[in-house]
Amino acid sequence: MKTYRFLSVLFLIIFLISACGAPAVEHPPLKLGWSLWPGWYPLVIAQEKGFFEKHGVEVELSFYPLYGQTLAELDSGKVDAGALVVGDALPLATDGKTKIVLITDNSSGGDSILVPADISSPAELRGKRIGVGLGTFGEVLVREMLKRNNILIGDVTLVDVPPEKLPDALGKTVDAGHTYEPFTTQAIQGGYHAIFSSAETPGLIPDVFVFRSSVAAERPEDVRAFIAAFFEAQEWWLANPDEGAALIAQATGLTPADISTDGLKLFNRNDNVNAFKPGEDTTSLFFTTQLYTDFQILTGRLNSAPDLNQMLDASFLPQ
Amino acid sequence: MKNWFSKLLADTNEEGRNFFAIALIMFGAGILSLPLYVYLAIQDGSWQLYVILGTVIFFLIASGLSAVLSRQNRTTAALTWLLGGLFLIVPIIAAMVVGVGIVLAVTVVVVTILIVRQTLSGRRATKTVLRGVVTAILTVAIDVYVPWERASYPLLSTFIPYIAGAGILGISIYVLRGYRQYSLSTKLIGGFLLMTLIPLGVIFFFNNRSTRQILTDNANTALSASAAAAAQELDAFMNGSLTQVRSTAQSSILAEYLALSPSKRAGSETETVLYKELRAIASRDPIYITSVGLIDTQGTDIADTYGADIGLSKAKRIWFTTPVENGLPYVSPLEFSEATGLYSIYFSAPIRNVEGEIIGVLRMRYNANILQKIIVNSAENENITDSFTVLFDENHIRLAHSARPELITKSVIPFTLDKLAQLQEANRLPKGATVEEYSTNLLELEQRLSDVDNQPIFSAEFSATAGELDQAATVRMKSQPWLVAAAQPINTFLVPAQTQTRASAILVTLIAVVVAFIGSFVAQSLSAPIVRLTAVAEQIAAGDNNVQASIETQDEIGVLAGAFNTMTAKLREFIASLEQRVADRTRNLELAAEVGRSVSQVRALDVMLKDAAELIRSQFELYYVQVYLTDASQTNLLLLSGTGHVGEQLVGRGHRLPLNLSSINGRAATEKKAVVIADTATNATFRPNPLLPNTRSEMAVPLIVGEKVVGVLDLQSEKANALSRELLPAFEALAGQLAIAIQNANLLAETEQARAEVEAQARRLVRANWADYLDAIHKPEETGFVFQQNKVRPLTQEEETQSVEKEKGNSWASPIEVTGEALGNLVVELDEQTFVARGNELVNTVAQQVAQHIEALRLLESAERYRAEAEEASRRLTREGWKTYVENAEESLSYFYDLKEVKPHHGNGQAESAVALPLKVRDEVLGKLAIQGIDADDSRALELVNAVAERLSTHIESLRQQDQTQIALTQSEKLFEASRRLTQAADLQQLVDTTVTAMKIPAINRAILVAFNYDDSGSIANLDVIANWWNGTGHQATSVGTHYPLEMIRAMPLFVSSTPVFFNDAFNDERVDATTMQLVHRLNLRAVAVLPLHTSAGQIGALIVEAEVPHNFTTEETRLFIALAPQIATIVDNQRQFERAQKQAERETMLNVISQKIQSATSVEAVLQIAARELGHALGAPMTVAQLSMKDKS
Repeated sequence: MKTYRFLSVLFLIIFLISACGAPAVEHPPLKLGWSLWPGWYPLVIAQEKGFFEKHGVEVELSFYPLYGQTLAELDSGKVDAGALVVGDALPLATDGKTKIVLITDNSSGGDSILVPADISSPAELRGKRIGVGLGTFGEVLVREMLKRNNILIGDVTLVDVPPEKLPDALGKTVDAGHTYEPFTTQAIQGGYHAIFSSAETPGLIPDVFVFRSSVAAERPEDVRAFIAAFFEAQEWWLANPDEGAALIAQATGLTPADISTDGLKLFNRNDNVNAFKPGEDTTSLFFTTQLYTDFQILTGRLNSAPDLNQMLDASFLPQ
Repeated sequence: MKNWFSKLLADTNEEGRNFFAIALIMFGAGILSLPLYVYLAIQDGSWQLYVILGTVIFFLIASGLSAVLSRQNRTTAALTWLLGGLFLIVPIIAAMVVGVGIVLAVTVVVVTILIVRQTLSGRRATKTVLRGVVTAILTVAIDVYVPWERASYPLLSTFIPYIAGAGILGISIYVLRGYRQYSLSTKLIGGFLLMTLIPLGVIFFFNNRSTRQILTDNANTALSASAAAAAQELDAFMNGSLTQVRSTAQSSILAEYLALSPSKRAGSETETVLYKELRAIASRDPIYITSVGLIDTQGTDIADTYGADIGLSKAKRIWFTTPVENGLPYVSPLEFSEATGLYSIYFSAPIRNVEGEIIGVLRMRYNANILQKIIVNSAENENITDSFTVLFDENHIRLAHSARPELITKSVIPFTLDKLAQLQEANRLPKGATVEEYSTNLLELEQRLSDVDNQPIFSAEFSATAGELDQAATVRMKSQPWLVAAAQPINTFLVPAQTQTRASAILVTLIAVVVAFIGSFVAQSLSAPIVRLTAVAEQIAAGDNNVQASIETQDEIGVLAGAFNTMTAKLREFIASLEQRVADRTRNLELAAEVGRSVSQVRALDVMLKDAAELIRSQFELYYVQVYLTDASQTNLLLLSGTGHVGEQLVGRGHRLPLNLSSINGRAATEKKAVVIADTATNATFRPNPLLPNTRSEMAVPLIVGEKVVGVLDLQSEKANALSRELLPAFEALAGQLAIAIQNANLLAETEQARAEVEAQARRLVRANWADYLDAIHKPEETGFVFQQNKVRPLTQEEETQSVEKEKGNSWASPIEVTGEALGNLVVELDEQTFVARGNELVNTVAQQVAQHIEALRLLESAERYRAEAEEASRRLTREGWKTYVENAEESLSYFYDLKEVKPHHGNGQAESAVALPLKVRDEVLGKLAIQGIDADDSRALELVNAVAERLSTHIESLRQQDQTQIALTQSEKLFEASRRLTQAADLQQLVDTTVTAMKIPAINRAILVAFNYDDSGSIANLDVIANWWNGTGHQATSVGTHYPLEMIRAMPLFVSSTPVFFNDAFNDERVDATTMQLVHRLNLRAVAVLPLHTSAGQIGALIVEAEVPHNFTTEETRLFIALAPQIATIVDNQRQFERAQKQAERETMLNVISQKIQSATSVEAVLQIAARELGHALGAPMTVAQLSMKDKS
């Protein structure tokens, strides 16, 4: 009798072990590359405040001093996601390798075209050397400004200057240029002023999170959790601006004074939902993305046009 | 130590001590291993080791608890804790550490077997070992199937095969050592399992090995291809990029722009075209090409798609100096930029003018991630499961890693500090880099990577954290001194082999189970008949030889069973014949005893012998039995009895044989040894008796008393070999009894004859003499005295009549007899109160005393009278000169009386003239009485002399007869003495003790010997306990002297029996009635044996043997009882006789007193007076009469 009891216990143990047999695949942390941009500061908040953890996702943030590095890191697979401007995501999107899953913000005055003090209107820029990250949203903004002021692209010389290098390059290799905060402030301190900003082009410069399609397909829950945590961080920051600024300053090495959401509009869930709808102007991400696509085709940067329906994926937004 | 140990285990039994020792050993082992596990856990820090540490601590507690429980003799609980602890930790360790399952499984089985061997046996042992085996299987299963990550100790894995091998060897030796003890079915099952599992195991082993080999080969091929493809892509990229830079450098716009003076460059048309050109190059890979720049001969970046670099000096950069120096395009190694924090690859080519002079350098900067992208793409394209591709530079720094990008820029083994500084100087590593930060420590991988030219395919750990061995194929790049390694975890590509192993393990287990089942069935069917046969053999060994082995098969076992049955049949037959022989012999002895008993009744010799012969013949179913007796001369054997007609005939004609060796019977008598002729047909000396033609075997047994042969018992049978030496003891015993009976009969006959003669003579004499004495001349014809009221007075005529009448009333009367002649009466009148035990006997005895004494007195008085007469005659002879007669008396035995004294007579009396009278007894002349000097005519004198002579003759004869009687009596005394010696246990207590001891039945705790007292009618009146025995346990035996009236003994019929009665359990015996049952319960009588004691007179009592526990009396015991019964009876009888004799002696004492007084009397009157008085005194009788009367008899 005892033997049977003993055997039954043993078989129970074996059964339990077998039940454990379906291994819970342990995920490595979600790796996200980013560079300095106020719209992305909630990443720091979410990390520091434990919102990622709260939503059940481990996130490893890789900060790159150079924005372009995010592209290379994401493309070479070193990170799973990157914080990018929408146009830069296009070369990555060939063969459906990446997806845009979230609009973090929209530049609304955050991006500016800075000109020397002696220039007071865009028309005066004719014949000037304008520093801009060629092929980037900066060029799109510059082109938009030139287009609005009826200046042909041939009337100016576009010099490839990354926005973070612009304060240094101004007055040396270029006469004017595009940059954003905190470099805008630096440039203004150097005697420059803005004659055009993204406030005049709503929706033209959306900042997004781009995920590798493979990661999005394999770990949709992690992506959803990540986005949910990010939204929570956004809200928290808006509710606690000072505390948020202190946190961000501590993590990024900036001064709290430099930290604000001025010049950009943070996109919450509803904004995202709206933007992820097709439309006929830049408020629709589809439209804007198409715009960038056209621009890059125009500038000979794309071998093929990406499939926007596949590339723009709102399915990870919280319900 | 020893003392301490034994003190500690003072109250612990053997089993407990064993357990304690083992628990202590286990505890010690746990304590010893604990520091190791603590060290490992702290060192490694993995949770698995902490779990193991926890279980080891639990095991310590369990074994400690087990030791404590063992000490308290609670061995079952101790075993549960001990083995429970063991059975728990082993699977847990297997679940926590990779690859120790088999060793642990073997260990747990070995340890369990060792523990069980020391402590358990039987079913419990088997069960526990089974548990150990199940735990072992579980452990192996866990080792194979456990899903989670486990700690790994490569060192352990190295030793595991050896440990496992040793363990398996140990078990094998152990199993083989015990081989002899295993049952047949176990051996068969074991054999089946071995025969099945060994080939299977070998097949699976080789199959698995070849599978592994094939899988490894396939993996190697795939990895080699993958590495080659990656290398090719990298080379293509390198070469393509270089070609791009080189060819673009030929573009005239570059030279044109460089030819412009710096001041004219900005904003010039040339500049626009140049930038277009540069951007076109950059747009080739907008993600990775981070800069395309133009550097003048001074090393200044004069135009750049990465604006931040414009104007900076690059004069010291190798990618600038090298092309300027050797005119060839250049590819840089990975260079770190402190400014951007990025690694880059630089492609540069010299720009020449039309004269061929180098006027600048075109430089293209690639983000180093391009290498990672190429590697990842390549790896993805290859699509090998879990495979990864790594790019190592010449310093074995990882440049790309498709699976673990975090390892990029890290070297395989730590750098020396010099090397680090050197690399930092060359911008190969960041300035702040430390050795720890930028290296892993994979020595084996380093060695393998150093040796790839010899062994491009190898296995090594590619990452320390993964902890698994990878199979790798390497290919050297052509464009760079870099290595591309494609690797795959061995466990990944060996998955099919492992699946196969698992499937095999399951299959082997299933086959083992099936084989075990089939094996047990076959073993059962093979061994069951043998087991049954064994059981049958054991039954036979235990004494039951009626069992039969069933023959179930026609194979060897069936044959064996048949042979077995034959054997048991033979055995049965043999035992039966043996039993028959024993029974025969016992019967013979019993018959001999019976015959002996029946002949021991002393009767007329011829009748007794006749009966004996017939009895022997009929009891032993013989043909003819005869008894010869030796004659007085010891020269002949006289046939005294023979059976049947032949016997009568032979006895009738006085058949006799000479006492010599000429005949069988003669020889037996002569040699005093039995002669046996088993088969007359084969015996040369046998001479057949014509009257007994059917005799086929004969036996002559001498009848011997002491040393004297008194006769021969001759037995003849019609069957050859019927009378054999085997029967001799029975017949010798018979012959002995017969001899004694003959002797007794002879003696009895002689004694009786002598006594009869004496009595007859004495009577005659007494009658004559008394008639003479009470001749009414000298004495009155009647005389008597009365003792009344303490006075003796003469008996009057009236009283005489009264006393005679009173004899019929309340009185004792005894005749006063002399040699059977009643001379008077002794009468004691009794009143109610004066009862004296056996007073009647006393009266009788006194009467005899009186008779004797008055006879003596009469003789004395007669003698006086004769003397007076003789004196008178003598005087007359004197007077008439008979003195001469005396002197002339016979020479031979003659005496003469010379008035003074009697003197021997010499001289010839016949010459004298004398009266000589012959002394005759029954007409035989014994001698003569001669008186001289008596005239022959003196009739008066002659008469006297005649009378004297007659008296003399009679007296002489009487004296002779008395001598003879004395001899007979002495012989009887000797016999009595012999029988007394025979019954050495004179004491009845001792007798009972001896009897019970002889029984040898331990259950018996008491015994009582009861004697029956019979009343006048011959039925039992009551019974007395005359002896008892008690072994000191249970109820005491009924004490000696206890008197049971008949009415108390309801169960009396049980005691009165001709055969012993046995109660195996009186409590449950139907023969016991309710009333007796109460007594039985009160005395707690369970087993009872009632042994009736019979003598020739009937049952004299019973020996009751009792036990307070039930006991089944065996045949042997009952036989012993039956055999002992007559002996006990005889001894008891003797004893009682003896007691009676003692009482008799008491009476004799009383009698003596009376006798002495009687003898002191000098006259008959005085005698009668004394008799009357003393008897009256002694018996307290109111009146005693002693009377003599010859009135009616004269």
